[in-house]
Amino acid sequence: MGGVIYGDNRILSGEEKRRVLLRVRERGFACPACGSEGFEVGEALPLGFLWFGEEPDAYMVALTCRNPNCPSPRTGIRLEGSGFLLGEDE
Amino acid sequence: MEFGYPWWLRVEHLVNIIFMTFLIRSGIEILGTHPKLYWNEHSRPGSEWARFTRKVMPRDRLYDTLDEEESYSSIVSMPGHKNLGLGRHWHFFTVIGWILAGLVYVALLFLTGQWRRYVPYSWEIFPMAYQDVVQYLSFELPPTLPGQPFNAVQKLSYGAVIFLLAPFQILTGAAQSPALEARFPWFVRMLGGRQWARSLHFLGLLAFVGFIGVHVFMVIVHGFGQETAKMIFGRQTLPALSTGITLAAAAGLVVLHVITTRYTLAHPRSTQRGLGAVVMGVRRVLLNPLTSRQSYPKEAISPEHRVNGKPPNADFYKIMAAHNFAGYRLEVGGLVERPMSFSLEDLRTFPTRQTQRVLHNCVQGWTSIGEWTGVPLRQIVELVRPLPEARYMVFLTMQDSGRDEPSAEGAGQFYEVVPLEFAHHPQTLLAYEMNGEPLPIKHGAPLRLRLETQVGFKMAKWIERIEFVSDHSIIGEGMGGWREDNVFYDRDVGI
Repeated sequence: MGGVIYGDNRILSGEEKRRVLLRVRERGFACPACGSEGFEVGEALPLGFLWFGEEPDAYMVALTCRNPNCPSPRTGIRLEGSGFLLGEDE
Repeated sequence: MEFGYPWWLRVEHLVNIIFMTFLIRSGIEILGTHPKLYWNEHSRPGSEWARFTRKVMPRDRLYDTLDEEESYSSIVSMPGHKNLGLGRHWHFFTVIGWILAGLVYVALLFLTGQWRRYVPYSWEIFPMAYQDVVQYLSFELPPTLPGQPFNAVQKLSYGAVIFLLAPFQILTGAAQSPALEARFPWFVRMLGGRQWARSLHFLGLLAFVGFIGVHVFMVIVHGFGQETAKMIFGRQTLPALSTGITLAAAAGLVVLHVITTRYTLAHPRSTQRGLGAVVMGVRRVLLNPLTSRQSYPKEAISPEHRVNGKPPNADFYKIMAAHNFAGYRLEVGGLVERPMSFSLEDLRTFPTRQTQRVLHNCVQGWTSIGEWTGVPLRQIVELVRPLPEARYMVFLTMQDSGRDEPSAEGAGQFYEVVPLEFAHHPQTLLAYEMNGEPLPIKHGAPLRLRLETQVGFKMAKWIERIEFVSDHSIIGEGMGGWREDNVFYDRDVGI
């Protein structure tokens, strides 16, 4: 989308993206379209404020499947913010 | 001249009572849907000068104005129980009757010379009216003016209600029409703004209710039987009989309200169709041709634009949003020569990028001012080339109201039908930006409709498809949109 970033999304630092990949591996999350386990991490969408039924600290983190032949490479994983976000002083 | 109480004046009095009582109750129904009044166009939470609700809204969760709606008893509102759509039908239906009856009344007043009973001839009437008030407060009845049916304060009061308060209510009501506001922004500014108009309309309601209360009280004070006889027989005669007829008529009025209220609640669809046929016909002629010419200054933009409707509560949408809507496609098809599909990038790079700063009118009564940027819808229409039989555009969204909106009654995919002619209005826009930023999720990301002559619910958010159709009667319940189908709203909502 030509680099447009929506204000609803949170841009993640390199360390935060690394933590996301750790959580992905811990959960054994695989691409729903092709089964690949390699991902590029994008932005994180806070869910708790916008959607009822979501935990206050829940995020949908954008993952892009690294498999060049994946038919649907854009996916996401629901994570707790405390599991990958750095605090103000970190 | 001999004033008396001619038959047409008595008939008008009776008709006016019927219309006024329906207008008041249906007006309270409309007020209950956003039970807060403001003196600012932003309707900022906490800035209301009056509130008729005890609801406290959460700070840590998105709430929308559907969550703020109140359910009032049918005793005070028509039909009651949080039925904005049906309340609107009754309000607009009866206001058409009330205005027509009022025009006939005023015409007859002037044709017969009876206007003199209400219009003062001299400034001396004001000190005389003051003396009358003093006399009333001393428990004495003031004399009537020489050769006239009323004393000074009565004459002034009736004249003010007929020639000032009634037009004031019509003007402040009309100023709440987004079609009129959009076409004649100076008109609503003249009243101080849209929320001023709404607040003044409410104060006008209080004035009417106050007048009716004092009027009835004074009829009792002056002699109930004799006074009501004037409005039944045209002269002071048979007070016992006129008392009986008046009380029977009052009971009949209550029965009429009970029957119509029960029928409305039991048969909402036929009420919607029946009253809507009249209201829609008037609107189609008066409001649909109006086009928006708004351009608010940048500094007028609301610091926090209010929200109605909740975003799609589905993982496919949340994942797409987390990816900044990179995978989004707008499908346009149906009765067109060239069905097409657009990415957000396609829409952003259209030859025309239009920005407009406009007043958003929610059907509930609140407003906010926002700046919207997007593609004029007429350009999409020119590209896909509707077939000659296409008459409507159906905006299908990613929202499922049953899943996403606990405060809404009904379920299913949210959609709205819009007449094709609206696509050619200069400020009809498919908006992808708000206030210079990508469109926020709560306001309809990635794409929403801006239709500046209509109330907000027609401006579908979270759009995924536009379908051109010749007829909408087989879509959903066939009423022209999700809210029309499920909560009996009216279609073509220029007011």
